[in-house]
Amino acid sequence: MEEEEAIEISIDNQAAIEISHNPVFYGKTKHFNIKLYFLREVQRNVDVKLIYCKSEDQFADLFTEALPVRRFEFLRQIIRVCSS
Amino acid sequence: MNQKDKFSKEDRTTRVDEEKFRSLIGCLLYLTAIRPDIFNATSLLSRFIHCPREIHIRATKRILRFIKEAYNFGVKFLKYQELRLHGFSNSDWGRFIDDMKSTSGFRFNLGSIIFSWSSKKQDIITQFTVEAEFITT
Repeated sequence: MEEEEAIEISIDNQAAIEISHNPVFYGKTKHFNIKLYFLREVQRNVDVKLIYCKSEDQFADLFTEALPVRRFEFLRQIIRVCSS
Repeated sequence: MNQKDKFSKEDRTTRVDEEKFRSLIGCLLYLTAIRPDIFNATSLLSRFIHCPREIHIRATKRILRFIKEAYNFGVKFLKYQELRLHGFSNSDWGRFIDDMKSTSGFRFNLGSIIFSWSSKKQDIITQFTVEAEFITT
């Protein structure tokens, strides 16, 4: 299947987006693994677009950390895990 | 999973039967194919199959109790008009206290339906949250 527009990926960290856009050399980022700059390449080819989202709208939370019950149930509903 | 639980290899609690723990985790990992909600907890606990302690088996039993309560849950696929690919990526930073590595997680939606998800420990130790997020992406 062909995707016409760029795939949007939401991140809740603005600095990460800025670094991925910016080809300027920063001292603080010089130890980043070179293979990670693949991200810049796909962004230049407009295959992927990084967009900022608030932490509350970060629906990938479920896969990284333990959450309070209400938040967990909310996210579970978002990914449509429900009883048949 | 309890938010306050901190899992470590060198926990003070007593050791438990490795074989039993291994088979429990194996079963849970199999179940994650249809239950993305327990994915993170299971993948975290599966890092301890070589040295299970009381605290780990307790957390595993907590997952089992959770499944017992919601045993007929699963991902529901609906017919949807708009077919657009959208991704979310996130990372915690240095939460795994044994080696201070971060966990990265992502999910991809087609329309509104989740079809791909992952929760994985990163390969290298990161110095900033930014770097952890960067790797995830």
